[in-house]
Amino acid sequence: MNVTKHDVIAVVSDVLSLPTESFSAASSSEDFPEWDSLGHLRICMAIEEAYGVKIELEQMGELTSVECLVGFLQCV
Amino acid sequence: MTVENKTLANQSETSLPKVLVLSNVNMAPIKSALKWALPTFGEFNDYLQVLSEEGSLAYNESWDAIVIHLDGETLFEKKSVDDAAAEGEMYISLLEKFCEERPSCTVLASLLTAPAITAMTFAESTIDHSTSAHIERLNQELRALSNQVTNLALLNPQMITLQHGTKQLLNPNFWYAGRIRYSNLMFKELSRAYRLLYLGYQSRAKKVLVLDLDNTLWGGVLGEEGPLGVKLSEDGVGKCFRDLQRLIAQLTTRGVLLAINSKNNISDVEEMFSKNSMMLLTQSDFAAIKANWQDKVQNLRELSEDLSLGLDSFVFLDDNPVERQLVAENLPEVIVPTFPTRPEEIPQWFLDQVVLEYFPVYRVTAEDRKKTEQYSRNSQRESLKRNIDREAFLKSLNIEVKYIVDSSELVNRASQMTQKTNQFNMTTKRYTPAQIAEFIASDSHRVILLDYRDRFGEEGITGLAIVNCDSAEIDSLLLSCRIIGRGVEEGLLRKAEELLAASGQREIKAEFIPTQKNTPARGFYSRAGYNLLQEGEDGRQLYQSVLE
Repeated sequence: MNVTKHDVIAVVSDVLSLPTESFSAASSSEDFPEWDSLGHLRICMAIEEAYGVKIELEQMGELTSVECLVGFLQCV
Repeated sequence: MTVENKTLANQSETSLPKVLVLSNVNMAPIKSALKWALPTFGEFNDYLQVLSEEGSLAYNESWDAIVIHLDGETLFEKKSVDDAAAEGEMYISLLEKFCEERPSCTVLASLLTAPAITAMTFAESTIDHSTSAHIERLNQELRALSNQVTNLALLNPQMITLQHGTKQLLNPNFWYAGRIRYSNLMFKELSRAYRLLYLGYQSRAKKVLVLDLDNTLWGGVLGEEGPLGVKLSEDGVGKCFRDLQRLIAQLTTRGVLLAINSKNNISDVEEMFSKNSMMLLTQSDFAAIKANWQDKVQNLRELSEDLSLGLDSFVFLDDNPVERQLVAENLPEVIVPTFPTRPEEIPQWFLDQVVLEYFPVYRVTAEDRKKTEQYSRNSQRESLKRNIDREAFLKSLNIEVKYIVDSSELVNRASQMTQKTNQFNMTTKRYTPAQIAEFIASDSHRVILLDYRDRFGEEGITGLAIVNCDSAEIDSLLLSCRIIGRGVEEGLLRKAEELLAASGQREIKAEFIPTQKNTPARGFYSRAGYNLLQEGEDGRQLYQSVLE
């Protein structure tokens, strides 16, 4: 799938209610208190909905940065 | 849909209801869908604790509503089915205690749904202590409880699961990652269902369904194809329309009023009613019929006058997009749903997008069932009224009025009247069944109901007054618009005074609070001999009367 970091940042920032400028490709769950475990699940749900994909349970814990999410989407 | 979700969604944020959401699964992701409320979430699976402790979140704060969404499958994920059933029992008794101790809080609770497949496979249906059998029993107890307390409204999630199927609604990856059982679709549907249940609980549903005829109630054009030529039958396209009629007929049994607004000759329409035996709706099912060649906007205005109901309580169905557009532009308060272009989609669309969306009810009262009959009798009375003078008219009605004071059996009806009456309503104070029950139980307040009948039949409980004997005030006084102008309003006021006098009061205070709709009530106290003490800038009037 052809996905850019801007697409992913749009989803993540919307879920966390934060401005898109706060994010870069390197942004990860450690950078934002809002990106906690529940926040992460909500991000994954929003990614599933936006791109019509299923994230496997065992993958979910690894996709905790913008870069990882972009990489995951590019592979499907 | 042209005009969508006008009712709760466009309120300003401060007036949104404060809602506490409790569950045995992680409901936090519903937040983005819950636009109609200001939600607070309990901790995951703390619903029993929150309901059991007097000092907890549920008891401590004042919530407009508490949503308790219990997932049946999750409840029964215990080692033994009996343990799970015992937790269910405990939940219901805590729920009962909460509803009784916090009568002013609305509780919106889910019924339980059974898992699709269990380890018992087919035997699940045959054994007494199966998960499904326990769930059925717990649901029966919830139903019984909702009839016993005044503030519990129930939602059956099957309304959603049977429409979409659990495969689309469950989310095994997020369930195991963080106890999020439901998909975004399920959260959206649950949010909608709880919103509509809350709306139904507050009696804020629409009241009138106005129908076009050609290609709406039957297929084809009556004026061209004749009463036996239009499509209305037990098979094919004709059955789509016959099924729609069947569903509409069911709505009349729960108090929704029907009216016709159609470009047709009235004689053709009457012929259709009398000659086509496939018509499930009869002429008497309609409280008013406008079949003519004038503009449908004008017809709707006249229907609103004839039925004494505001246009904001109207839903208008018409297959013609031009007519819909015209009505939507000129009468923005009327709901005008987009009508399906394929006849086979009509019945399901009608149930989901019209009945559930605009006519939700959480329980049905005996008065609701009688309503259409009452309204059409009313139009008979109206025509009688035009022909004779007022006094002779009133006399000819043989009006009989009975007063019922502090009846705990009529709490729901009393509340419904405070919620629904807009025109002849002196203070427009809205009360829930629980608040009415509190008044009845108290020494200070008396709740008076007026039971009306005349020679045309019984209107039932159609007037209400609430007096505060401590402060000598008339808190509420209202009459259903069906019986305004019959001279009974003064009788109700005298009854209120009598009860205040009986409690030792002589100087009676009464108030008129103006709203957009209660002009018919303005000036009533002056006419009844009360003195105007003061009038505020907002138009509120304070009256006094000294009893002899």
